[in-house]
Amino acid sequence: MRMKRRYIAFRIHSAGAVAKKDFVHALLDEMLAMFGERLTAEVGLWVLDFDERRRRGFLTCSHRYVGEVIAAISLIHRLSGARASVEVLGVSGTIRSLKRKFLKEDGEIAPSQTPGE
Amino acid sequence: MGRRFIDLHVHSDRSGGVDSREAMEAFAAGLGVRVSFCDGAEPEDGVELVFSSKGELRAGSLKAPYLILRPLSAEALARAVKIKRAVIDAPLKPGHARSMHENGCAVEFNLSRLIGASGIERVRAIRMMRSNLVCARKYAVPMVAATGACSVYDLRSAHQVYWLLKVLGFSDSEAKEAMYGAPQGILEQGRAVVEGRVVEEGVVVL
Repeated sequence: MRMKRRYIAFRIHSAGAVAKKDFVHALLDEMLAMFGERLTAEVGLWVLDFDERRRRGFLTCSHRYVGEVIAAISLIHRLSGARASVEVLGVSGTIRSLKRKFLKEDGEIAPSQTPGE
Repeated sequence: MGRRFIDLHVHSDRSGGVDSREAMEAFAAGLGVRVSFCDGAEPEDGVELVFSSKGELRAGSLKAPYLILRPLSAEALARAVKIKRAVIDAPLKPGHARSMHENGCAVEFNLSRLIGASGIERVRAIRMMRSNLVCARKYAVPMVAATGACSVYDLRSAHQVYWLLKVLGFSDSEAKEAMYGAPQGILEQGRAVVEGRVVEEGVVVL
């Protein structure tokens, strides 16, 4: 059966330049360290888009593991040898709505989602 | 307007952090987070005390709106849980949690223990937080989530803190209370104490 997917928009804050492969490695390292190989394999994690100039992009994962992926993103504290953090801008069910809500083309970035009360 | 996550444990360059208060506040505002500093420099600031014996806890330092205590020994922890309204960041046993409940203390879940750690150090941090969660649930001790940030890169948005708490084993309502309700209550109570509006324990002039 086809996996239901979610799309997560993110933005990187870092003192230095960040390459896509460094972000992918850091994210996989945190997933493996925190949740192990079995769960990391089930998550279906793919970084679909990464704009190195604007330091933002989006990734996809199974809808079952959105929380685990956000937690792993939150644990990243170094990228490309420099101190860094990755901000989760929002989660959406389609790429179109993700781009519309959180990754506007004009460079404007919507405020981060907060958990409902 | 919805409630904002209040991060009670943030350090600026005045208390061993890296970035200025202004830089931390601006960055936190971008994340939708409200920060409260542990610098002790302004009247509204809290104070973080790291101590290994009860003799090191001076009465003069207890006048801040709120205290974050990090006792490093069993003797210091036994003293810390008797200080009213303290926020304690230490491995707890059921006896400590009972005293904390009686004295209106809260337990801190300092996420810098997770974020900056790896390997066995992170395993120990997770084990301690899960054990503290069990104690806090059993004795109804308020729980406070904080990042312990010393630079802008240590700050996290509400969405991220929520999911870190969830993977640690918090329920939905516990996570939200630790992020919104408990820190707000501590700040309001601390403000009332500093302004002299507390007539006696639990009675505040509005």
